[in-house]
Amino acid sequence: MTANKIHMKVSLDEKQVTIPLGQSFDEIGREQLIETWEEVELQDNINFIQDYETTRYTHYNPYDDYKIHYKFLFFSAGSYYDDFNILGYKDYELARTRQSFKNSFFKFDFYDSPVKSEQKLMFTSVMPANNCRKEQKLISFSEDPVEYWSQMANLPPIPTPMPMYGVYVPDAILSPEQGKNENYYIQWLKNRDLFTGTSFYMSCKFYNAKDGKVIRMVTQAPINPGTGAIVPGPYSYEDWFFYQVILKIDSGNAPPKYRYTVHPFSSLNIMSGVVSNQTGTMVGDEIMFYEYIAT
Amino acid sequence: MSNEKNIRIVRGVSKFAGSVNKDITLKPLLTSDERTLIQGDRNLVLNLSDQFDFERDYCTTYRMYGKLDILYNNIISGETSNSNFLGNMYFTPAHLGCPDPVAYPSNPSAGPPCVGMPTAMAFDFIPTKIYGDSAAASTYSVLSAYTDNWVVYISYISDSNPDEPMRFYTEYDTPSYMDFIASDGIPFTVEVVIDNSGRETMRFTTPVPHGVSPGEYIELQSTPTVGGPPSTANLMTDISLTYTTPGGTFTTQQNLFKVDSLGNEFANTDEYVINVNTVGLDATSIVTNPVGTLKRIINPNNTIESKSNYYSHTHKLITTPNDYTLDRTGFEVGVYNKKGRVFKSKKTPLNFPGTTTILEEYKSYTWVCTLDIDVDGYYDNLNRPLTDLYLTVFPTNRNLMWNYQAAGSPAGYGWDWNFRKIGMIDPFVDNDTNPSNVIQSNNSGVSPLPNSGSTYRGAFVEYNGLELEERIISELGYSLKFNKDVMYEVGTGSGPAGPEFVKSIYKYRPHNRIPIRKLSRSIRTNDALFTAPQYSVYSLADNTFRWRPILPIEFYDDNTNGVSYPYLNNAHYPHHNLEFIVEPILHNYTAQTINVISTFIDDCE
Repeated sequence: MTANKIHMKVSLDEKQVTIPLGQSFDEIGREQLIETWEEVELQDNINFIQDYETTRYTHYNPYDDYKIHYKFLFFSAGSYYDDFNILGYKDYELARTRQSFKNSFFKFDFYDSPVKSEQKLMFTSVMPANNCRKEQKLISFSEDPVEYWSQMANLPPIPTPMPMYGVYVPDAILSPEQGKNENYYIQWLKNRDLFTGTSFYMSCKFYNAKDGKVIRMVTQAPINPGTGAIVPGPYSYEDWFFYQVILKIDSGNAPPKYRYTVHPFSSLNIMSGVVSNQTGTMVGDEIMFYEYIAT
Repeated sequence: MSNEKNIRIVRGVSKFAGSVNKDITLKPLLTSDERTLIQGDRNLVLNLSDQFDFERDYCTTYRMYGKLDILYNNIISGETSNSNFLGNMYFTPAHLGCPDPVAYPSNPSAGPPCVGMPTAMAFDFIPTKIYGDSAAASTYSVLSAYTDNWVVYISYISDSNPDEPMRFYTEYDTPSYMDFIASDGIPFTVEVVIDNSGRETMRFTTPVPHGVSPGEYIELQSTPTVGGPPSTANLMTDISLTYTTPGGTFTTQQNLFKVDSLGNEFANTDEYVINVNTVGLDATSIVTNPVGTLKRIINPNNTIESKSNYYSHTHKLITTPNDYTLDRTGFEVGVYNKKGRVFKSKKTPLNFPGTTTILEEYKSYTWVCTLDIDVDGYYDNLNRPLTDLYLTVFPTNRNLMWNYQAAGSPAGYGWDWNFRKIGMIDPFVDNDTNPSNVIQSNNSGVSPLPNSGSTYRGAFVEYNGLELEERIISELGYSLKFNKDVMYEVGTGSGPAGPEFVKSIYKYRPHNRIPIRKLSRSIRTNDALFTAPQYSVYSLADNTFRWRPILPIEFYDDNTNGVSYPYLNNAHYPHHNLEFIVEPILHNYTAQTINVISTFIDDCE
């Protein structure tokens, strides 16, 4: 048997002994509640974990091998042209991808709302000008005599020799294929907790490295359909500047799982709540951007 | 204060009419669990490191990503007249190509049929066009090209199958084999030798690592069956031993033997050779061409726990084919140079333009699983939380390169003893007779692609209840046999039986392990279940619950046993680089098929 030897010493100061009676209060449960409360308070005060994981969204276009088609038109002398010559580029500069052209780019801004007073810029993407398509064009003798005569010397005399080279035109067809996919994918959050919206409103500007100017683009040709005359700006933001880009996570098994589509947009869509048909899916149904004409 | 309430204690009869007195006992205890809340006591000091560890340990979400390096040897050649395949073929001999017979009537090798190898695209993860059979129904799409040859999944081991049928060939010329199931244990052959000490020794040779140590025991099994011509293979079960003692001569039938040593006269054979010193082997104890299976026993007095169990893993797919992205790495290429050749039009058959064909190219790809995998709801075959995920790769065969017609699958399967490089192709891996359950029923390739929840067989495994540990005996291999509509054995095209299958095959490993957690090297015990994890195992011998704890992330209990990977966005990011090897198993060619230079004998001898 074990026995504890307890010595009780007399203290002159202590005149009473407090004997606690056994209590059956639920102190343990209360302690757990306090610990839980502590954890909650702790998490609230330091941070809550936010998921910034992004993934790539692919253009959904099974009708044309998932390509996306863009077309840009620039204004000159009362008309719009899909030609970089209007911006001051010579054909030989476009054919040889001179630095001034190589450093030019289209910048796409994606906003959370089409209403200017409410919108926030969510993200931006950049498409280099040399992502555009090349088109065969006759060489101008006066502009590039060296290339002209060089080709003339090597071409057979019959039929009439026609020296040509590939010249960039403001028309881009992007696809998932390697080398053609710059600015094709959209990188955005996988988890929609941080931003629950699925629609973005895309506007475009062209940054011209030739002269350093920035050209704002609109989504419709500002031409009066009755008179054919140019309707100069300013234009309503909701009606003129944006395409609606819808991001979707598909639950099926067909790729792509993370996909986006582009739709024409105007204030009518806001009022009706209806989304326009998808655009940019084929030649003849391109995503069109026109140079903004300032008053 | 708390004692200031006006409490009056009265007898029972004084409470209300009809009330009676009751004896009430009050035991005044000298203990109390009451604790006063003091303001300073509840202060917590925030430690960033501790908080990070807490959040990381709590998290069960994994985002898998990594790199895929493909490695192969495009060496198996065949003959073909398939028009689409000819346009992409690497002709041999390369200097001749496969010229037009009209232009080169005197050239016996002018074709078609042409001889050569498939283009490197046959092995690639993202081919750039439809390069295979003209009969392929698939059209090329840039977006879905990453599933034209292979499709990648994340899987886990959901179950095990002890009844998995297996076959071990002992002879291929006149096929002789043993059929067994996984739970029968490891196959072996045996011979009787006299060791260096002059002792009679039974020498068991296994085709895969046996996992047995000296001092442990092996038990021969009686359930396998042998097949093939009579007396080419005989099952070894009980072995007759005769002992002569002063009391007389005794004969016993024994199937349990203590292991005395490992290995034979060759280097690195310890894992494959078991030596059992015996006395009293009868003349007929060892049958001719003996074959059998054995199980490992650590302690013969506790066979319930210490006898190993053998089974095959069952993998269940977690992801769908749409749950990953695959892209070329920006700047990396494989370790070997790209091999290819320009075949000018004079080296290609009539109406085929000149072409550049790449024979071998070792590209690197990045793969990203876009599905967040929450392992909280998954348990492995031993009811443990998941410690491994697997990168599972299946052939999709949209170019119809691989034979699928007879049994509806582009791949056969087998284990290491079915893929021995001895110059013979094991009939077990032929997908015509033993197909995998990757299903292809038409010329559209594997369609629909396997989906999440589907199950597939996996590695051959030993589990020992005493060690509480699994050991992979042999990984599963998939075999790929050329579709003879695309490419057939050279010289058989005009034979009476028609084109024959190319005899050599390719093999690869479909399930590739990605460790996400590690089990400790040490075993913990506890007497009560409620303080042990749910996957603990009750030991009858020790009367305790036993388990191997799961190690925290970034904790290593030796130099290698642990995991480390980033944690952010409330998810773990394990990274896995897979060297995806597709290796040829060649018919009539072995590692020993080399010209042995005759021993040099000088004039003095």
